[in-house]
Amino acid sequence: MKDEWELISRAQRGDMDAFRQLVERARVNIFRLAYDLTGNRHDAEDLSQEVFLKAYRSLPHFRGDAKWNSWLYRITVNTCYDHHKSGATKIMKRYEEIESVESNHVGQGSAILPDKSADAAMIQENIEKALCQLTLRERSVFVLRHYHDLPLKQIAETLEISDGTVKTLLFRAIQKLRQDLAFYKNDLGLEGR
Amino acid sequence: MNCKQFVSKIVEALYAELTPEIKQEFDAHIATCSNCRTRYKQMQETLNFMSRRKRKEPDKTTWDDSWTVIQRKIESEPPQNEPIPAEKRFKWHPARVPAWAYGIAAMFLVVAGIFIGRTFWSAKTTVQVGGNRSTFSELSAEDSVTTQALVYLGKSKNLLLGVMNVNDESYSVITLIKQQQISRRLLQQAGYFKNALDKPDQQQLKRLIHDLEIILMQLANIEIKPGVAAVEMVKRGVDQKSILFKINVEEIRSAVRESAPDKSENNKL
Repeated sequence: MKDEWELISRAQRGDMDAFRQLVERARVNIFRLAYDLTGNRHDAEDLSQEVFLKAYRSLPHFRGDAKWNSWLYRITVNTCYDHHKSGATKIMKRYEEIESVESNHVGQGSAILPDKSADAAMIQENIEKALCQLTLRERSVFVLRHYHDLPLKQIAETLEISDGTVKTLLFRAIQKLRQDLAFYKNDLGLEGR
Repeated sequence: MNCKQFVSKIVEALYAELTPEIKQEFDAHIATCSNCRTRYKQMQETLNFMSRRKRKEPDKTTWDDSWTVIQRKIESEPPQNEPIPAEKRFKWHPARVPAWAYGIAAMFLVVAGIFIGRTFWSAKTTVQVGGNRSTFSELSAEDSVTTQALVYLGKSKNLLLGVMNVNDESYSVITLIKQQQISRRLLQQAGYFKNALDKPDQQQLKRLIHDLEIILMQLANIEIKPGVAAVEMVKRGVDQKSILFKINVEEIRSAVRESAPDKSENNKL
């Protein structure tokens, strides 16, 4: 933490090496969050670049009120929202990517793949599709809590919404996911309902 | 804990964010309520299932390229305290402004235009009264003498109501002086109306202004001694000549005249 602060203050003074180290530490999480929100590798890479550029520009204003990671998450979510608003994100892109993964997977010869692997690919596809069905706000809250392990309070701070709204969005997201994945009855404990 | 409270805490419970006390209550509830227990279990299973998702990793080569791009862009930007060159300054992107904002802006401009037009460009009628010029700012150039006379009557009525509705306790020298000043101003204008109201249908109005002139003259010439009988004399004069009643009648007549063309228009339709 102390080390992080030192890097931040060096970066604020214009030290590019310090900034690179900060970016290096955060890049995987930022890419993953951008991917979770856009569903597209290409967009996620572009948006990650944009996030770090914005972070560099706003670095003089970073006072440490929020954690460095939370601050970057906020920039990422806002950048993805803007990207979404501009109409650049096409849900179809995500499906295209899923389909290309699937076709590669099938192309290797389904006969030589164990059934378990085929199942895993199918599950992956269905999970991605179910995530696509969520609204951007629901998806943001869900991925931040579930995949980025941010506590509910920190999500509220990051997204600048109330704790109650975070809980409502998360509850709604889980309910929707359960409905969309209802055909996996055994896995979701729906048997006998 | 009841079922409603259970629902409000379920998300925190799923991610182990409950305080120990509430967790205890929560556990006690699901131990006794089978519906809530099933619901909780299903949501937990959903989350377990979502955890099977494989996370994407950024590609190493792409990342190296990305960093080069980021670095190049940062280096090409001016330092924070230097002025930004004109070509890099904020540019207006009309496409990003929602359509409804244009509507609101247009409405705002129309309202502002009407307000400015009415405030600064409306014509003001100047009425020549004896040697003085008095401006009826509330009247436009098209207003007829009758309309001006009605405005005059309205002002006189307000003055006389002020005189009629006072009692000895509330009447002061300052009030009387002010009423006399207004009365003198109105007297100056009365002469103009007596000359201007020359049409046959304006004769009733002319007589009323003549009667009013006498009352205003009495008021203007009262000696400043509050509570003296002279004020009572003015009041009696107003009563005897039914000035206020006549002004009301004139106002009603004017209102009827104004509404008459509208009615005829409606009938045509």
